[in-house]
Amino acid sequence: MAQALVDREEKIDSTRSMRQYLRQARWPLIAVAILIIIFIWRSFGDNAQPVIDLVSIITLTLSFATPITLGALSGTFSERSGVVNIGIEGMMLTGAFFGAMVGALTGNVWLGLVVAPFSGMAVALIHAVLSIYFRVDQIISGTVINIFAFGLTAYLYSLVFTSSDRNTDSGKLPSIEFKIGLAPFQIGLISILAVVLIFVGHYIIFYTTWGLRTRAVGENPRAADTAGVNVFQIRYINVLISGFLAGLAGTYFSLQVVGYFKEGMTVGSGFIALAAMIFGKWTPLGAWGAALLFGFCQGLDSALQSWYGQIEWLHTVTQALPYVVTVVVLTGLVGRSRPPAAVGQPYIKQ
Amino acid sequence: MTVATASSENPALRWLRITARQLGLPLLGIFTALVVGAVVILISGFDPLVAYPSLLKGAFGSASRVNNTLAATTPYIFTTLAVIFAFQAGLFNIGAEGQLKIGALVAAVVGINMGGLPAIAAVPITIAAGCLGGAAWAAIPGALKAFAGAHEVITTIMLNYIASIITGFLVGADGPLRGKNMQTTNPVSVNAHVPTIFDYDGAANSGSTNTPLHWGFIIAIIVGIIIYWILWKTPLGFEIRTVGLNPSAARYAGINVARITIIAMAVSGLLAGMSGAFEVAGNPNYSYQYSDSLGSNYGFNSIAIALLAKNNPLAAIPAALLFAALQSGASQMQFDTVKADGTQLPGDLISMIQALVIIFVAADQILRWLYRMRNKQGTQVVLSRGWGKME
Repeated sequence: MAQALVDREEKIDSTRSMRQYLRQARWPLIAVAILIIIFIWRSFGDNAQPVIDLVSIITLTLSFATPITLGALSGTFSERSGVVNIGIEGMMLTGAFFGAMVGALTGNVWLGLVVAPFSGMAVALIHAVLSIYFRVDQIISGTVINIFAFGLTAYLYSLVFTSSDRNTDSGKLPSIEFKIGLAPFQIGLISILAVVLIFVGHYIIFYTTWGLRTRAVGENPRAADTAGVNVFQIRYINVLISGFLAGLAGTYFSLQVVGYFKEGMTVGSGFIALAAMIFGKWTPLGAWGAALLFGFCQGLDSALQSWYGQIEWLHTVTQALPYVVTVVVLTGLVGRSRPPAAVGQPYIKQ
Repeated sequence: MTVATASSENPALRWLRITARQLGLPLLGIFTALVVGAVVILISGFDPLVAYPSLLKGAFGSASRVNNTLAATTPYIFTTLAVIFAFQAGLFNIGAEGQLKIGALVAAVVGINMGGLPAIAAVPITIAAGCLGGAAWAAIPGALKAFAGAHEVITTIMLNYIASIITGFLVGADGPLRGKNMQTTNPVSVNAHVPTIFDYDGAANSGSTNTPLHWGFIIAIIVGIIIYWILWKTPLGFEIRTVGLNPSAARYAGINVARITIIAMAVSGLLAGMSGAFEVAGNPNYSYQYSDSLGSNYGFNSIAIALLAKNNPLAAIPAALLFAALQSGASQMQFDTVKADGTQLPGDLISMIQALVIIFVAADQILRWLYRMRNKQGTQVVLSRGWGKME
């Protein structure tokens, strides 16, 4: 009875937070809408470029948003349970490497896809033990994870591939292709998976007992403990889920886009994902919205390049756009967005 | 771990004992990291007894090697001090890399135009320009944090990317500041060159790959002492550390937290910019010009060094030396350590050892657990608790 009551209140609360999110994010959303209108208008200009522009922008947005989406979801799980995870970048890199390595060694890209999330999970286990059992400062632990993962992947890469003439090609995951009118629409498997996982994550965090406990542990671990929730278990498992998702995000770079591993190939996406998580107010749907905004900015650069290829400074502007948008968004929002109350604090059982 | 009552003890002895105890755990941590590294080397099928001696030889094996290692230490000391200064105010500055780049570029632009001035004026002006560039770039996240609550971890990382895009454009193919070659500016005027202390084989003029040691090294040590003095012996330092420990309490005590936040970030950026300026004006490996490859990974490495130094500006100097030594010894290690089939030990092992060193030194509760020490509650480095509510 009481449980049902709590659940209902939580449901109301989550729809309210969604509405609030839409209200607060109205300026970025309006900006995106205006840009889309410009693109449609531009599509019917003199040099009759068909709807392709719009379709390719959507494709690019979804594609570029993929690792950020998964990374932000990864961060949401960890931080909702009260553990800051700035090691997402390192976990992504680990996933990218192990996915590509297994793919290349076995010649089966699917095996790579299966192994990668678990490699991210293994790294997350280090983070969990350090920050939950040893109560190491979580920012230090995350920084160490990032440096360690960079070294580990580069080391193993040289050991396995550089010193021998093994094939580094892991193969690529399939993309789904179809046509909208004349325009080909192509979307990678991981990108579809990311969207599905966002909704699964939203359901888990806001509509299951597990999610309720996770949020309780992130807000007030002492109270949750008193109510009989195993704080340590909840935190360990959520950090592992976080590692799993980050490892999966890594496969986007190696298995989806290029089909091989390159040192440091995640190029800071883990950090952009953290920004998306904050922008999305620690909710999966919000994080997805933010990730789409970042993806759109990156997609814009790629799309504009073919139009204004000659003008160097314009390219510079669009290149910097995702990062500038992140800063602007944080500046406007963080004052009003509230992290889980217990995030970053190790729990000591009494 | 016996705690002697020290009331009747000779102060000099007491100081020595405390220092030894403070040094003991970090040294044990470094040792443990090397042991774990040795296990990794063994598992990979190489001989750690070949790898480690050649690492040492690569870093300190000859006069020119020592020279190179010390020269590589110089920029790390500055950027580590930058990270530490911000840490003391409770700010996690990941943006040292971007601040270094902006500082270096500004220093190069000013240094190019120093032809008419004597060296005694040209060098300080060039370095000061770099400092101002770095400080201005770092003041942006400082102000964003102080006035809008934007978390500096994210904003400094974003500003790193923005800095590298801007500098990349300015010295790019059609960039307005581009020199003879792409990705670089023109060299700074000879008057603005930082004089060398020790030039092993005349590298400054001969174009050898060795790096002469310039006065930046001495200045880095002096700056380290000054930063220590500011943080622990001045009212400003007291305010900075109070804000770092507890912003709410600091505000209640009448400290202007916004002002301290901006000052701390600006000084942090100033130090990072100084690092870049000295590289441009003092390091012939970059041909005395701004180069876009300057400073990559310095931001993250200096965070690592700052953790290793446990946020102490004086400890930053040996910690930076350790990191630089590991890096400059790496290629010798890779070259010497070979399997029977000719495979070399990848030099990237060093990054893993660095990560292990940080975790064992910055979080010594693991060491205490590992060696079954009785007192489990070690001194912990606490940087930040979560994302920090701005109220």
